[in-house]
Amino acid sequence: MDQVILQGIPFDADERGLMELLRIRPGTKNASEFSSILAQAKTLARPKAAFGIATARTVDHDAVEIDGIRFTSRVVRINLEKAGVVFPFVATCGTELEDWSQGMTGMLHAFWADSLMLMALGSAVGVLESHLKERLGGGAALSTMNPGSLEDWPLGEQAALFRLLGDATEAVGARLTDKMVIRPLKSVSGISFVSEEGFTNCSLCPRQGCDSRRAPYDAGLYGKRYGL
Amino acid sequence: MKESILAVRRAIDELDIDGIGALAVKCLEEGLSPEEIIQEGISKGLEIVGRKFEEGEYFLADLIMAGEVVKEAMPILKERMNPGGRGKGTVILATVAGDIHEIGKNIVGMILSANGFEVIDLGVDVPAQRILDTAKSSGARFIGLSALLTTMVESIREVVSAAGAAGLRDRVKIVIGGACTSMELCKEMGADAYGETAIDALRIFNDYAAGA
Ligand code: B12
Ligand code: SF4
Repeated sequence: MDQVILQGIPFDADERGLMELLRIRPGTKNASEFSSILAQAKTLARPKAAFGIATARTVDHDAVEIDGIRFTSRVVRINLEKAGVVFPFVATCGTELEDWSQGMTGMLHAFWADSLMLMALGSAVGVLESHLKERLGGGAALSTMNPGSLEDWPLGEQAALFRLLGDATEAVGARLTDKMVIRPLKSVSGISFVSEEGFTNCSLCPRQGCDSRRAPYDAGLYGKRYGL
Repeated sequence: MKESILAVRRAIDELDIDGIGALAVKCLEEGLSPEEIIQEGISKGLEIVGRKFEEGEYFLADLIMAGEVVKEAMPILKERMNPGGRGKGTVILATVAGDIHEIGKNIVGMILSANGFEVIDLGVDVPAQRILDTAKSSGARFIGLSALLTTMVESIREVVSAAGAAGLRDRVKIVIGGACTSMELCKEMGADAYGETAIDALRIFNDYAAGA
């Protein structure tokens, strides 16, 4: 499988905007502390991402193979068999910021460090998405699935995804623990794919009151599109 | 209600970290007791912030900052408090083994510590044994577990059994929360209580602390 490692991703953080977001008043002791924490983060941050370019082969009703590695899920099978090209990926804030954040003491500083790591992860995901879109020549609608997001594609499938990405995960400093947790913690993994009809986990997720919902829950979709 | 105490409430709601100290001193000078200031000023101020958070007007950053505002006032009040007045007790908080989601847990921690609990936050992906070791060494009577990943709910059972094995099950109360938990899960796992929100968490631990 061809792989691309994205390093040197810029971590652009606008101090004023961030201070507003984090409710830090200019001119206070907090403001100067934050300023120095942000400066450290800016020097250290190395957000990274890696993705592969592959095709998925249907093995049976509930499984596909990508580059010889099996993924077991009906929804994955149906989504990917129509997709042609697929992009397994991992994106991370980077070990540099995670290591640095361990040294934070007190709830406030830990919260700031956390917010900065999530921003760094956001930068990595943003650059990854624009790379994929560019590769597809714009226009194509990209959808994404993440292991662990749906009952039909459980967290245990992280292992297969990491096997598929192989050395690329090491190159970005992401590793999987035996409990299937990605370290650095501010990381995400998944498979992006082209989908005309568009797919979002949210349409299969019954969770109520979720602030991040991007599409309404469609109770009939499992049956309609996936025969589940 | 005295204007000075209302000003304390407002300072917390408006996240006025520079103003709160002077306002606490003013309340004391007017003859209010530290306990009254905490009850009517600080706790009520935090209630307002908590409500705004639940209604979506405030975000985590506001909650954290409100906690910092309270921290500015507490030493001033504690200094004048009756010796022997005890805190509400220690809560060990952790996101269970195999899970990394911590925002909800952090909110619970913030609300509890701002309301007089000693909070030991063990972080995320915490093995059961570490939670129990901490319970033993700190003498904490309360444990709060957060779980968002459906596949990791078994980690809750591990904590409950480890507490049994360590002979601590009668001494500690185990409260669970986080988006994938529920009352049914709480029963299934043998935990003591389930809280849907951070405000629930406060209510539950307050009840336990009061011996209810
Ligand atoms: C933010 C987030 C992340 C962030 C985590 C940041 C952080 N520092 O925590 C990042 C981007 C890193 C992340 C990664 C992943 N995530 Co995520 N994430 C979320 C998201 C969008 C929001 C969670 C959140 O913070 N909510 C806000 C807080 C305030 O709510 P809360 O935690 O529920 O807490 C409230 C109450 O529950 C309660 N409460 C919480 N704890 C406790 C404890 C006690 C004792 C009590 C009484 C109450 C209580 O009080 C809180 C305040 O009221 C959720 C979706 C969602 N809407 O829940 C997915 C979600 C939890 N993630 C999910 C998944 C699968 C993952 C990944 C495995 C995906 C992947 N393959 O990459 C990775 C894992 C990465 C790794 N390192 O291994 C799934 C889990 C599915 C499931 N049900 O099992 C969800 C539901 C999204 C989805 N449907 O796909 N994630
Ligand atoms: S509704 Fe919320 S929890 Fe469910 S998939 Fe969408 S963002 Fe995730």
